[in-house]
Amino acid sequence: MKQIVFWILFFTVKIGCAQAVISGKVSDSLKIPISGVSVVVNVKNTDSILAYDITNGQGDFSIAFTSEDEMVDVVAKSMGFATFKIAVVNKSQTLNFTLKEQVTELKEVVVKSSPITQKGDTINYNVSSFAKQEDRSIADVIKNMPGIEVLSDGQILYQGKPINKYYIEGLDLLEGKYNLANNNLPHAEVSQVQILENHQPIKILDSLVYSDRAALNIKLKNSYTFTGQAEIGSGASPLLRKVNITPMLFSKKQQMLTSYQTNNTGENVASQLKKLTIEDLLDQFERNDTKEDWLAIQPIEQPVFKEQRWLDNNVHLLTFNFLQKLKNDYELRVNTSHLNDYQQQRGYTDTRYFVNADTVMLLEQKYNQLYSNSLETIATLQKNTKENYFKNSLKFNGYWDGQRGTVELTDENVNQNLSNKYFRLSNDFKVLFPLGKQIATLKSYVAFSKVPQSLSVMPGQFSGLLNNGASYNEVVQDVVQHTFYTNNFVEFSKGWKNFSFNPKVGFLVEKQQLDTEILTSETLQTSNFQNNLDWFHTKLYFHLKTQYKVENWRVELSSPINYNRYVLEDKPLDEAQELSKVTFEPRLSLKYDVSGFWSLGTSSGLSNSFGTINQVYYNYILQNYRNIQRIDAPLPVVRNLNYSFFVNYRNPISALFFNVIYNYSNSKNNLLYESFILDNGAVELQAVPQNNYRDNHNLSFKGSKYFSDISTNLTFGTRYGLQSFQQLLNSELTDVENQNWQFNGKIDIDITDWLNTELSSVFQYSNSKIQQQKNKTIAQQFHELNINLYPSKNHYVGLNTEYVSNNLYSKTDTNLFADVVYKYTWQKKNVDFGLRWSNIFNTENYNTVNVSEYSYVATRFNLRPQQLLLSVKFSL
Amino acid sequence: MNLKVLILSIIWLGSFQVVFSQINLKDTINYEFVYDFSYQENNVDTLSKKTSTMVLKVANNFSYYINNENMRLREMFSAYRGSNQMPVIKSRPKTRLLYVVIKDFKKGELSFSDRIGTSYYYYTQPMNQFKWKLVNEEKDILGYTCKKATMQFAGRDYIAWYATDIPISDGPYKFNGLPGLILSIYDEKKHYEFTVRSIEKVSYFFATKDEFFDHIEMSKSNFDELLERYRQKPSAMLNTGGIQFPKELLEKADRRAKERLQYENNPLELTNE
Repeated sequence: MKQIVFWILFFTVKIGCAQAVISGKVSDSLKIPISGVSVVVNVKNTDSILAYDITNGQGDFSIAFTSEDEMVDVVAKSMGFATFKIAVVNKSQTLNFTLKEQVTELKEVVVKSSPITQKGDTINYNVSSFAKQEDRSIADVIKNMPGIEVLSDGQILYQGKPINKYYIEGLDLLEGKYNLANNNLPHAEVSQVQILENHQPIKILDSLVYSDRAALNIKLKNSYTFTGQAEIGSGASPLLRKVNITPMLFSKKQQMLTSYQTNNTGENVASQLKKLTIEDLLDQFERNDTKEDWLAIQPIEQPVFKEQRWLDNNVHLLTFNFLQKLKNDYELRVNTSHLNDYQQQRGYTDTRYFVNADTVMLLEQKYNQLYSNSLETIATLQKNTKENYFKNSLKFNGYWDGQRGTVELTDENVNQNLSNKYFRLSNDFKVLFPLGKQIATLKSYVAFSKVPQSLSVMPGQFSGLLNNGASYNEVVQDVVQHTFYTNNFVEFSKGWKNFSFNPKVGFLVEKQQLDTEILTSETLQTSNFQNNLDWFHTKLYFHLKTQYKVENWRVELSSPINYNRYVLEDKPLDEAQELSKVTFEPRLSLKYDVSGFWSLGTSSGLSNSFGTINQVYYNYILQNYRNIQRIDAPLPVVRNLNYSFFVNYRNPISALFFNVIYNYSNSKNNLLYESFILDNGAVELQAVPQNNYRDNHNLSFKGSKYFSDISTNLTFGTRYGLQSFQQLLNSELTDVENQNWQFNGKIDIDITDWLNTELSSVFQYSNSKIQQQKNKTIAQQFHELNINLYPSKNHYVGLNTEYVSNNLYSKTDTNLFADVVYKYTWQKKNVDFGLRWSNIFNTENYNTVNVSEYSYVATRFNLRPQQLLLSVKFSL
Repeated sequence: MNLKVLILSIIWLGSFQVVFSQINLKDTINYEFVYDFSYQENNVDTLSKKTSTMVLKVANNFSYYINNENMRLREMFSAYRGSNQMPVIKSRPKTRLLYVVIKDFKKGELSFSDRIGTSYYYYTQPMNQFKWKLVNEEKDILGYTCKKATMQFAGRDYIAWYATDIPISDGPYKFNGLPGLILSIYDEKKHYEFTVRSIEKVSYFFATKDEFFDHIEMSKSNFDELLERYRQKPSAMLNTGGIQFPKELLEKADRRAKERLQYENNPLELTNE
């Protein structure tokens, strides 16, 4: 410090002295200026610096200094040059000099760099340091961990991307249905949450196939843990109940999770069984294993808003999940869930058909009771080591569903009784093996399914067709469908420079048998209305996916070649058809990131689709009490052309974002359909083989801007769609055009830290034009206002209001809903209380209207009444 | 869509790229200096002190300053892009220090780039922005005799030690302008400290352009404003217009960010200059 003072004094004193400026240029032996040379003026024969400068890009320097000495030293130093030193007179002057190239000897000091602070691809989060007092389940704590997000449906994201596995102690007990564990495992039992970055779930592919996804692993405190969570709630009116008891057990060799949940509050607990990991979802798309329903009772159209406002349920869910480690790294897993639900729907439908300038009117008062009873069991054997990957899952799905419906017409009551069962047994096999230098994947899927369904309607319908015009007591439609389905392929991937290739070869076989018959109370033994259809579909395919990535371009070309063969035959009806076709279905997509602000892309593709078994049958099937039809037609073949283009702009500097997407598709159909209402009341769908086209244009815009001065985010979007196609109306080819517009906007304001409001609005308009004649435009509006209050730490109050307005043909129908939610956490006892008052205005029903070219359907759906629910949540 | 219009519009938009491409200087790197870097995230909590390793690569006409782990990450991705074979990684480097300082000796400009939200941005400044005061004091660092200099920068008082025997007028971070390399620099409170650990002569080709991310250029004041906005409401940067994020996710992110930023209240540059 003394020295600093000295030097400051030294310089101040010197101000009186004359200042000299030495300037000049430094260059090398080729007269090229050298930049970055340090030129220093020293007290003669010392290394004490008077002043200095660093040469600029032109090699120029200029040094102002003051000294009382007669002479000073000028020293020029630069890496790669010999040091230049000269003694000059203390006065202003120009000094140009040349430096000689010479290797600068540098004393090297190399220290081995320290190891990376984070070992491995694993990040450990200590649960106790992230848990807040109000947190209960591990999901609550995970929400607090930096880098991890939990979405409203329970999906977990790590750094914005969904996780690919959810492990408990390294074991995958729930296979993507991790909500069950995540929401019910108390955090007190968990020591650490680990994020395994770049996790490749198939160990044999580790370090061969790069994964940008992370997995999550739950580390428990004890090697043997029995835990769980319970929630009990009750309310009125009618008497409400809500129970969730989820015990679980984890040990080194075994894991078990059981959950029993029941409620009649309109909460759809089936969502707990939803699969959340991407790869489990993708797996599902590769095969068609959804339940098929041939027959139905007359439905009531469901409202478009939140299920909890209208779902009148009485559900019980029991799920049991068990995992056992076996010898030789094998794992056996059994997942079973049973769902039992009884739902009631009440409402009415006002239907008007416009037929040949006449209007047929139908008013139906409906009461539907839906009973569902389903069981799903999956047994999986898996081996996942560095050397081997093997997985086989055997799955059984059973649905013992039944529905009862009563329709009150103006002059009679119709009772419908439906049994829509469905059974499926399937096996999924996957193995990975080396093929040359690559790893190949072999997948095989085999399934059998049976659809035994039956609909009975009282009194008998379509008497003209089914009973020679005489009224009768009851009609019964039976449908039995057997399906065998298998899909098998081998796939591998190869990279070369900026290209990557994914070839895939496989075959598919689908054999189906459809047996249906209609029985009436008069002819209970024999039936003239039978289908005995044999359906045989085979497909051979070769897919090649090529990706090319360079700089800001990404190009992907997929070029599948498919061979499809269909053979359909109904022997007793003496009907048959065949179709063989080789199709080439290329798809090209381009994406280009112009800069940080703009990106654009385009894609185009050609694809073909063929009809399914419910699009061709030669004899009548009574689908519901007022629809009986047959489709004696060739197999539909649709050729689809698709183009799309998008532009994306995001400028965070001005907080302005927008995108524009345009999509055009053109489909060529080989058939035109026309429904005939026959004299006996039956509907016959007739197909005319005639090529026809359907054009679809969609243009959408979406933009948002954030105003930081007023803490407000504004979003605006609009969408326009235009469909034009041809249709047979009264046996004449008619041009039909549908147009729809949508505008939506949202304002989100953070008024203070503890008060946030959000208002969103949607306006929709649609109209249709038939033969240049325009129908009336239909307008719909949806508005939502949410207010969230956080008055103090353990309290939360939320107010949600929703306003829906439909402009029907003759009048405008509006609905207003409001709910209040209050939550309180009792920290001491670790108990949560919740109070929910829903549908405050006690809105009783919801009205919608649907207008098509030749019909008008208005629907009224009865909603859940005003109700109050109090619930308590605690750990087991 | 008319194909001609499409191609033209792609070319038209593509021509903007020149404006945004990051500074790309290419040459042989001659020297590598590794610095131990320690910083205190909270201005009172001395336990919030963190350490990391930074590298300064020096070529004839430019230098490149980056976090060591971030550098490894870039090298790894380059290797992956070259061979399309994922290198066997036992440990993935990870750092939150994503900023890079490039000094162009010829132009006398430095560029500072960092990630804000999901994108990278950079600004340029004159290199010559430090008013050094030379102090006649000496100290030995790694066998080099270093002289002392002091100055004020962005709200902090710094003490630097430079080696005249290494005539490179450079240093860690933005620091430069002394007649010798800065081997050690720290602020008086020792919240930010850089000390050289290794000095090495190397020879390999290097280009400063980031192959993986576009860096968007803006003025220093815009950069500061953007950073401030991001700190206030991170979700405002996330919204890409196309993808709808659930409201509660954004709320959560904002709340968490605010909590974090209330704690991380001690940036190197306390004031914007």
